[in-house]
Amino acid sequence: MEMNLFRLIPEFIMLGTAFLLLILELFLPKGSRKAFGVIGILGTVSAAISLPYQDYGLALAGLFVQDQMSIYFKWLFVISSVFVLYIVMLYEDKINNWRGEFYSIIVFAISGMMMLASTNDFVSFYVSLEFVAICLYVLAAFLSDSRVTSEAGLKYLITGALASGFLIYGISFIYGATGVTGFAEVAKALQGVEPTGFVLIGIVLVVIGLTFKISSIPFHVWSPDVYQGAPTPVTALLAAASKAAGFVVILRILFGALGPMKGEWMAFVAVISGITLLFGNLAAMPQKDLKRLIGYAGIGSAGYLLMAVAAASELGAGAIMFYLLTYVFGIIGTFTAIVVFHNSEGSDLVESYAGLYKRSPLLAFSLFIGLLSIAGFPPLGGFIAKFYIFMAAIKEGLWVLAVIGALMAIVAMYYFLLVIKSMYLRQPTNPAPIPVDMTTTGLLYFVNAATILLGVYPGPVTDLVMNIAQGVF
Amino acid sequence: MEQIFFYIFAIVAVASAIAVISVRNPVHSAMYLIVCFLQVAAIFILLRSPFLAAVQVFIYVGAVMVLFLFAVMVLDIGKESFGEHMHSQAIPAGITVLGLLAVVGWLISKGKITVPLGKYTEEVLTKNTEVVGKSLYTQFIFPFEVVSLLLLIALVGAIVLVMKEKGKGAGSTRP
Repeated sequence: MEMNLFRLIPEFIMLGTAFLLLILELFLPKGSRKAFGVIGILGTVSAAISLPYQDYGLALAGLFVQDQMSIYFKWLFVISSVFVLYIVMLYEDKINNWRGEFYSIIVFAISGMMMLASTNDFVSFYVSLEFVAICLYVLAAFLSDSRVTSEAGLKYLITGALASGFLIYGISFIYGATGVTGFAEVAKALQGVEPTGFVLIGIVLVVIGLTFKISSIPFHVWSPDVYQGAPTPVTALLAAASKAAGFVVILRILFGALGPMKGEWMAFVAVISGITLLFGNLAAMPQKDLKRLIGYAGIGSAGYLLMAVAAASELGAGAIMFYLLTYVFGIIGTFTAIVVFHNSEGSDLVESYAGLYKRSPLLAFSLFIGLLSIAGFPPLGGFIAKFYIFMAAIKEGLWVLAVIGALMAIVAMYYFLLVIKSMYLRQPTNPAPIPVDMTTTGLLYFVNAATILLGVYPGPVTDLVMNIAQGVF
Repeated sequence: MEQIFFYIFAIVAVASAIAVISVRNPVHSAMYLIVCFLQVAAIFILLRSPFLAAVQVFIYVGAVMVLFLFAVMVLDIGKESFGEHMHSQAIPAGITVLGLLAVVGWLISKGKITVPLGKYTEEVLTKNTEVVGKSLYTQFIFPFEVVSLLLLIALVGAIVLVMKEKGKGAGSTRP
């Protein structure tokens, strides 16, 4: 029983920060809420500093694994965490009835996602997933005075509980068929075995359960309502970090544990991917609220990522990792701009963005870069990511899926370009400029530069993800 | 003999589970749920797992259901509002359930649902509680500790969501 607790140092730092924030809430005076955000960011940064010093291997009796993939995803979570905490600091300015636990629960959620990236066993996977889920349920319903937010939280909770039921039922079938719960042991037990009904039912239920986290069909219903109703920083967290967490477990479970059964799940995932692509992008077209629009677009993105999962190749796995990195940057840039805009205007409707270019060129440019990167416009990061996904799909002969994906990419361009057209070409109703403070300006420049750089010079990162993807099966 | 008991428990469990969702009165519904949980506890005993059976009775039948009944009592859910919503979904739900039943039944009839025996034989399980405790505190220490975090955050979250700060009315209603 090797415990190797030193491999959990990043998680310990995050949990320590979260506990510190929880206790400080009792002592710090009400006016010093900004301090929570700063402490949270400092804690996250120190966890990030410890990441490059991690060595690879197992810990906690083999239920925890530290490898290249877990470190890569932990970087994604750390980046999202820093920016989301910063967005919360911007956001809380305008809220009267605010409570400091918000910061603490965000850091808890991120630490849970880091554990999720490292799970190596169905039991620890399920428990970590529930830990993250409960944090997110609380965050989504945080402004309990607001009906919309409470409704969002309740919808998220009910769908989440149902999806968890599917997941745990599926896991019990897989355990029944193999008699083990470790991912590596399950893969070994399934190697070269004719799939029995037990395994098939287990795989189907697990895949369906996992679709909740990534907001794809059949558990997509929560996504637009929660994206619209939850506090904006939480929407950013759900869109960026939570989706990445969903895909790291898909990589670990479908590619890792159920890898030997890929002949059985490939077609199933491909069907889910196709329906998700069609639904998400077509339903996004008539949306009037920007957060809701991004919610539907997020369903579409899950469809693209599932396309790479359906390809079930190392190229597909690398494409997923690269896509998620560009997606995180796109979401962060977009949501920072949305929060700044909302602080000034008090509206998320697309029509209120009219003429934003005349009022704040930087915000308009950030939304331009962020939304087009999510849509996959060349030369931005999102384009390269989608390109790799199409390459992976075509290489495995998923022609139909690739055609649907290409058509839906055009649809995505259409509805995002409508927003951009409104920002750049229409006249503002109120021409007063929107002030953006120094730190936010710097942050937006950084995020935009990262998105553009990932598009024009993706070489180092794609080399890295393809290298990581070698060990995924 | 054991099989006969298994079928008795299983049939009562399924029947009471159906009753839970079909009776109108929420208190009756909760009572049927207790019956269902007790049957499952009995099946755990048939599976030589007295520890799980005891936990099932203590936690589900005891704590969780008492909380349930308290909540029903405090919230005063009317009979009508409880029943109304259910029946528009009855047909699609019924179709899904019958479909699942057909698939599982087909797999059983084809003999596709067979699994190897696990490592927990009857001899090992004579010390059931000891086996559970040992694996919980050695091999499964990671999920065990994460569960403690999970319970903490559930506690904090529940308090945060219902707590109203003193001296303040309704705050901003911004989403």
